[in-house]
Amino acid sequence: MTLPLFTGVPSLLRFASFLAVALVALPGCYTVNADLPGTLRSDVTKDDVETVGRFDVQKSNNFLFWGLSGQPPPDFISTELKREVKAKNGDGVQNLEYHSEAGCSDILLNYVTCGILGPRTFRFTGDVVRIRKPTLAGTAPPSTTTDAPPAPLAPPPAVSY
Amino acid sequence: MRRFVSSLIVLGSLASTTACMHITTKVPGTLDMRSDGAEASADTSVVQYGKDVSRTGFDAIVSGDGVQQSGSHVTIADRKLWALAYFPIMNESATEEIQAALGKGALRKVKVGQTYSVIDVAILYGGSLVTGFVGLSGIYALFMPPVTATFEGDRIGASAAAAAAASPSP
Repeated sequence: MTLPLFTGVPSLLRFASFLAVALVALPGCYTVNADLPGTLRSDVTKDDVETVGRFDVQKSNNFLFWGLSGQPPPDFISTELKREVKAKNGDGVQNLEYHSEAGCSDILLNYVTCGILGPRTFRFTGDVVRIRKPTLAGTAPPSTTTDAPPAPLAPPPAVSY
Repeated sequence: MRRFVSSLIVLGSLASTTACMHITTKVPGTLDMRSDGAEASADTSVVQYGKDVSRTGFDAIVSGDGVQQSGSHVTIADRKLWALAYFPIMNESATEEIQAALGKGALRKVKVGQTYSVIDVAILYGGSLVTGFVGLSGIYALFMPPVTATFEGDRIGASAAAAAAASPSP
């Protein structure tokens, strides 16, 4: 038995054309512009870090009106990253990956609401690390790994002979 | 009618186990969250990026602009194309472009994301319109839709900034 979808190239092309145009017509603008906390450094290699954990966070955002409205806030990713790093007592992230996709339920909701509601799923993965290299000049991003900067080491007691 | 319903069933089965228009952005380097690098000096040196990561003309329309630099600010636009909105055709990830922008230094005020730009819309509908005149709109639409993955940040010199932060103030 041959599936009707594959009985002829012309019908496949027509169907693919319809599918592609429909999928593009519904998403709309769908702009994401999310901040990453801290600094992205190339001079910190694997030897300079100690991996203390791994995270895999999935979030969804509901775009509105064909993606023209409902953009996620700038701290869409950074809030999760800060929380994960703080929970694992790290101070950075390595092997960070940003995934974005329209899942089955996302597409279904998009079709049912004619594009008025357009959910999209986002996933962030990475390794939480402790960095041995000196920090860069600047201030710690608010509400990150530590609520307050660590107290400086007390000077050694004076020794008299 | 039966053909259409059968096609929908096949599509539904596929969609139930997978996801469409998947964008993956692998971020090279290490995200150091101890400092925002605000006091580090900006790196405004002009970098000559290769044609594979910084594109102009027709390549920029097809694959996105890649890395573009203005002073210390770098932006990356990497256009994604899929067959049937599922199979990625090119530009698997913007990692190469981010790596080129990062260089041997560091980036602060980093942003990651995506957009469905005007060019993306124009590529699909304009291209379908033009190819429709010669009966190829179906083939053209197979390789769509495009979406642009974005990335941006301000370049700073990591080594010099780290040394400055580590050295005790007089």
